Amino acid sequence: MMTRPAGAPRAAPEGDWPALYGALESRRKNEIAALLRIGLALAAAPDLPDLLQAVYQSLSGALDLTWFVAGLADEAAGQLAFPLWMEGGLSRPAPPVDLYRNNSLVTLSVRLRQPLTSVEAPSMFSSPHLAPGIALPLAYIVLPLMSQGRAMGALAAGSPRHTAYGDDELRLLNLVASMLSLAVEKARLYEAVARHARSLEERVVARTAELESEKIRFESTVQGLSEGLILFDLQEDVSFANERARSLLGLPLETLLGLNAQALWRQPALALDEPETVRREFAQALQDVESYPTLAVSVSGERQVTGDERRVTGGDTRHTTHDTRHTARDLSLRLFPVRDGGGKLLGRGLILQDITREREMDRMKDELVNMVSHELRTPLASVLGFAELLLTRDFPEAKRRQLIETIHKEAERLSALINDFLDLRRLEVGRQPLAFGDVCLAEVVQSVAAGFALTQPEHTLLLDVPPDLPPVRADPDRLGQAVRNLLANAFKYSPRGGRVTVTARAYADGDEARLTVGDEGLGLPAEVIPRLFQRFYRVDSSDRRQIGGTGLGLAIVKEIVNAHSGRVWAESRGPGQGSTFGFTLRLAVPRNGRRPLRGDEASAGVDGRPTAPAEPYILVVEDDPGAASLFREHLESAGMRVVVAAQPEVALDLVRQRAPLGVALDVCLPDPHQGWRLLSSLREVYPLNRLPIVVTSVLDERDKGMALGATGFLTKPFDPRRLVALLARPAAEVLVVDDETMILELTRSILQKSGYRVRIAPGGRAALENLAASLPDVMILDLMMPGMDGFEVLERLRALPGGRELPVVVVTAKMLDRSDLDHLHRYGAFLLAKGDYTAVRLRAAIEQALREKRADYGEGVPL
Amino acid sequence: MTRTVLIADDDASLRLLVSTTLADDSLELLEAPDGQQALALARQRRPDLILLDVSMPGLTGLEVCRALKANLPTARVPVVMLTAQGQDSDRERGLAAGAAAYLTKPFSPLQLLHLVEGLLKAERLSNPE
Repeated sequence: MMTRPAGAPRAAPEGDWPALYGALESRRKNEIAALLRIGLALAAAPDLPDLLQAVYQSLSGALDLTWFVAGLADEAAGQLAFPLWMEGGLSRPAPPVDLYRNNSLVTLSVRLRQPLTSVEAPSMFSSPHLAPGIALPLAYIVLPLMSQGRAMGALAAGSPRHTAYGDDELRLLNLVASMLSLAVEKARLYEAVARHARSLEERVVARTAELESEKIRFESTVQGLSEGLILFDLQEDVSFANERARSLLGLPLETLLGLNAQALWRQPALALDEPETVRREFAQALQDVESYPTLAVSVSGERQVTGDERRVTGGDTRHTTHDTRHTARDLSLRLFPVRDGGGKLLGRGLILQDITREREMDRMKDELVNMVSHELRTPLASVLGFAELLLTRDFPEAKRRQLIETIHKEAERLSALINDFLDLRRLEVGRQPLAFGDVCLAEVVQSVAAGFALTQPEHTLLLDVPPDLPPVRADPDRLGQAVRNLLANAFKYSPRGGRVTVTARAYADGDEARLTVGDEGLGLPAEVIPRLFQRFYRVDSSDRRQIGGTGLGLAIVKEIVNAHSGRVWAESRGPGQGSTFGFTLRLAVPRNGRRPLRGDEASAGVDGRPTAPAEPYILVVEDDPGAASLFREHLESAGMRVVVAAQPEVALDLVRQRAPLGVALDVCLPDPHQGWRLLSSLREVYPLNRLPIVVTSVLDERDKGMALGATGFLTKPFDPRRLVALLARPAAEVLVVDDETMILELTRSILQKSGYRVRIAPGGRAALENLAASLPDVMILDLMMPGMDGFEVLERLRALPGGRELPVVVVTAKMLDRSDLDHLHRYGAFLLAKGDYTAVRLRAAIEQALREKRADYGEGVPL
Repeated sequence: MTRTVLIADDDASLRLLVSTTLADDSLELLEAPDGQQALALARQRRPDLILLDVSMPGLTGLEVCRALKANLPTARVPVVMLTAQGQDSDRERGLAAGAAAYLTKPFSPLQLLHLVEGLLKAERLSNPE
């Protein structure tokens, strides 16, 4: 191949000037026409392939073209592509060539940024496939498409004539090349801009979706909270209040939104107990928001009462018909700063918790102490006073006798009080052992009634208890005590005599029997009915006050019936109209023929072998059915599945089948050695941090229990709620990692309420420091954080000692792609999807994470 | 000269204790089992001293005391509150209601006797009829 630089002079054709001139003229015209058409095509700015096609069409009129090629360089890919490749007027697809290795003139021209001409056939011409009628180019010219000193590609034109390209052709091609350069440059710019715009648009869409899901996550979190949440902006005006906040304050959203923090506590609807103090303390707390101040306020005012609340008040509330109550609530307020990712203060947050129940508990405890002391002091005053008088004065025999009788009577009253009180306490804490059996109601009622018939001549006692009633499941002694207390009340509160009727029925479709004791006595005003079953509660009227009694009878009835899983109630048409007290009991065999699954027998499977439930459960190892059913009731109402095992063998069998979430172990089974041995066996298999075991015993053997691996110890009698607290709260420690303070605070609030210990880290780096100090039981990790993101935290965590096993719940607003998911999967993280971030789901995810870890230890390990 | 003392308590044994302790030829004892009867008796009989149990059905001892103090004819009759609540706040409330003294159950009969005699004597000195 021979080359020479293009544009070199060559010999002009000789002779025939007019013809030559005419030919020149016509070629000139063709050239100009071609340039015009190209210019127009360029101005129309079609796609690059269309433009190239137009250029070819225009040029082929002016030049002798058998081969015309446009190559565009892609430096990043190291390729030269050919958007146009014409051979003899036919378009042909041509594969790209290596921009740096291919040595054709076209490629060389780009590399050298120089025009090149050749008088040989181009090496790139596909001669073997030459179609008939297509002439082989014998000369060709390659011009680089230059822009700002760079070669963007090249234009190659070939002619079947050796002498086809002279200065004129060259000039024309040069012009076209530079016009094309401009067009290519423009097209590339346009494409870059379009690409940029597209990516911008994609990012905007993604960020919008992110924000949206972030918002959904936030909304669902705060609306699912059992706490109220109010956000104040920098002007201290309310910018957000969740549903719970509105109901706790009893203020509608319209009132709350935009309300200034100072004005909040001036709302007349709130009816604060100490408005001035609250306003002052709240204003102070707003200033000290950095220290996360907490304060308590009492508010009252109308509010809707939920069905749940209605059910929990009083023994039976069928007489409560109003849905709105004027109730006082004790609220705990906690303020916290709200910041953006960069730590800039955006406003303040306020978390409101209803602590009415807790306060009420405290008040009730105080009240109880006062009541007991009050109830004991009056008879004690008589006993001590008369004794002192008898010791210091002389009385006639008759008077002496009267005083001694009074001492005796008052001492008996004291004794009855103490017995009743202790009975009640034992029942309340489940200490009172209940001996369940199949009991005939008629027998129990008759034997109790026999005692009264003799001592109550002014009353008529009617028994309507069919002897063929199906037997009930009960402790006959306790049941007798309940019936005796109700009968005693009926006689006492009908001082002018009348009929006292005991009725018992069992209904065809139910699984319970119902017993009522009715009298024709003093009756009850409707408003006192919900309080009747409270300790020491007495209806305030003097004829009642004469009646005496310990004030504990009905409270004892209620506790006994509760221990039997029954209900108590009272009814009266009003003062002077008599009253009726009643309770329900479970039938030993319900009418549908299936024996109810209850405390002492729940663990027995159909084949006599106990079966562990498929879902997570709490194992109660307890041989006292009364205590077992009490624990069951409390644990179940805390949302736990309970299985009771009365014998250690049964407990072992269950545990072998499936690891429980926690164990309540009464070591004083028939034989304490068995109990302690069971504890040791459990601990050999399940490490301390994996299975909470709460040991209960009538003896204080805390040290022994803890030494053998108990996580908690309770000396009987104890409040069952303490057991629930020890078991329900796996005392798991959760590290929450999120760059948003709002989410951190909310999550902390949710988790603390659920009994977890919570640590927080406001970002990836803080999380790692936290993890390096000590590992929590579970980590909740936000994926998208500035600085170090969640993926990096995970990666580094897994490299920490022990960090491989730490369960991680990933929460993210980001829509995860395949590789993200693979990534997370590889690091063994649990994923909580964006819309799922509610309190309930969060707890469930944590429980699942903890459980699966436990399962690693729990299953398939032989005892 | 016969003096009249009213004892109001819903507990019959306690009334017996007070009447036995104060039994004297020169003392007439009136008894009331609740607040309303206490107030009625006090207005009707104008006793020289009134012993009031704090927690009585109907009107409480504190309410009776306040009612007595608000009415000129009974305003100057000394009142002793009897209570089974041993807390300081109760004592303060009793004294604020106008009680002259305060006895916490259980109390010694001798203590009661001294208190009653002391108050009657002071009453006699300040009101020499």
